[in-house]
Amino acid sequence: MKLTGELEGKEFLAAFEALDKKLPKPVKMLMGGGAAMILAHGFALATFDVDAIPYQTSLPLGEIDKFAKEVAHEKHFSPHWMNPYFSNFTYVLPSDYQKRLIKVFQGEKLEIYALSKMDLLILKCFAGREKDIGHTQALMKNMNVKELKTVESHIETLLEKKIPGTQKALDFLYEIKEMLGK
Amino acid sequence: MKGFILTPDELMRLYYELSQLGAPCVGAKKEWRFSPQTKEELLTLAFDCVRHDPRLLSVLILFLKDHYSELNPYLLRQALKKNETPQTVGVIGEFAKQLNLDKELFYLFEYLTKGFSRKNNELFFVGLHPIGSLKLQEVAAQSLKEYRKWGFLGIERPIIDLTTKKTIGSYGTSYRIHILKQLLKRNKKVTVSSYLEALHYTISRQQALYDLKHFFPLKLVGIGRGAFWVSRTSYLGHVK
Repeated sequence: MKLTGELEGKEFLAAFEALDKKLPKPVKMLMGGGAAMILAHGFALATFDVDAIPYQTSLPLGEIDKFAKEVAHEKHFSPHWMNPYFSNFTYVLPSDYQKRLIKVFQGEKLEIYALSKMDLLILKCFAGREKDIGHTQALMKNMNVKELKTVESHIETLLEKKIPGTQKALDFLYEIKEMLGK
Repeated sequence: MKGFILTPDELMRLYYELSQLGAPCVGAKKEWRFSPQTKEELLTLAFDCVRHDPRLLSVLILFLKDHYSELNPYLLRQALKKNETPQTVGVIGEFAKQLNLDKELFYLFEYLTKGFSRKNNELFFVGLHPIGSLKLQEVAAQSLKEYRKWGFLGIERPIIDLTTKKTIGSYGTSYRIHILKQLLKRNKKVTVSSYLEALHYTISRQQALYDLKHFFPLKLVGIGRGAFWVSRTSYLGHVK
C-alpha cells in the first residue's frame, strides 16, 4: 500500500480474499467507482476505497460491513475502505445493467461484479463533479458510437420521467462529448 | 459515528437503547460494537443509521417531538458533525416541526443543522429497492419535499400516530404541477377530488384549490359537487 493510504489493484484483491475467508455464506457484491475502473476496465487510477453493495444476496449489509471493518483492522486499511456510498445514486441506472456486469473476483464465497463502462458513465454524469471529468473522458474514449448513444438515450428517458438532476447530467455528457469531438 | 452500518442484531440493540430513553419502539439487548456515553451520542448513531431503516425515521421523529427539551444541543451538534451524513437530522427536523409547533424545537433544528450543505439528489434510504427498478425511479421522481429540502430523495411517509397509522409528508410545487399536467392531459379536466386523490391527500383542500387557481390558466366550470376545471383553451368545448 502506498504511503498516502491509497489502495492499488493487487491490494484490492488481497482485501477481497481476506473478506472471502470471513464470510459465513455466499455473497455477491456489485462494485462501482474507482475500484471498478481499475479492476474491470484497466484504468490505472488511484482510488481510496471500494464502492460496493450487496447484490442478490441475503447476508445483510451490516454483517458484511462488520467483516469489512475487521479486514481493515487486520490489514491496516482505513475502516471505510469498502463503503456502499454509490447506492445513493442507483436510481439512475437502467434495469438491464445486470447484462453488462463484469466479474472481477471469485472467491470461495465472495463474488464481486463491476459495473460496465456504460453504467459507470451514467453514474459519472449524474455525479458531474470536476474530479469526474478525467474518468468520464477515459470511459467515453473506450466506447463505440452505439454504446454512447445508448447512454445518451437512457439519460434522456430519465429526463422525461422528471428524475432530479437529469438535465445537469445531460449537460455534463454533452460537454465531455464536445471536448472529445464525439 | 462515521460510516458504520448496523447488523440486524445491532439494530435491535439500538431500538432497545432508544426505548430506554422513552422512544416509542421495542428492541433487544443484543451485543454490539458501540458504547455511546450519552443520549446525544446514542441519538447521533441513530441519525446515521436511519438511512438503512425507514421505521427508525418514525421512531426518531416521535421521540424528538416530545423529548427534544431533554437534550444538550451543543453536545448533540458536536457529535452530529462527526457523522457520515449529518444532514439526516435536517430531514427528521422537517417532519418533527410539523408535529410540534413550539418555537424552541424550530430553533433547536436550526442550530443543529447550521452550516450543513444540501446533498446532491441522494436517495435518503439506501438498499431498499432493486437497482434499475421502476420503484427506484418513482422514489426519485416523486420525492417528498421534506427530503428534497436537504437534497435527498424519498417517498417514505413517517408514521406520526402509532394507533391510527396516520402519516405525514407532502409534495413540492414542481411535482404538484407535474401531477396536474398529467391529470389534464389524461382526462382533459380535473376536479378538486381527483387532484387530491392523485396526491394521496397530502395537501389540504384549500391548498388544492389554490393550486388549481394559480398553477395554470384553468377555468372553473359549474358549481358545487359537479364542478370541474379545464384549461382555458379547451373551455369553449364545455359551454352549453
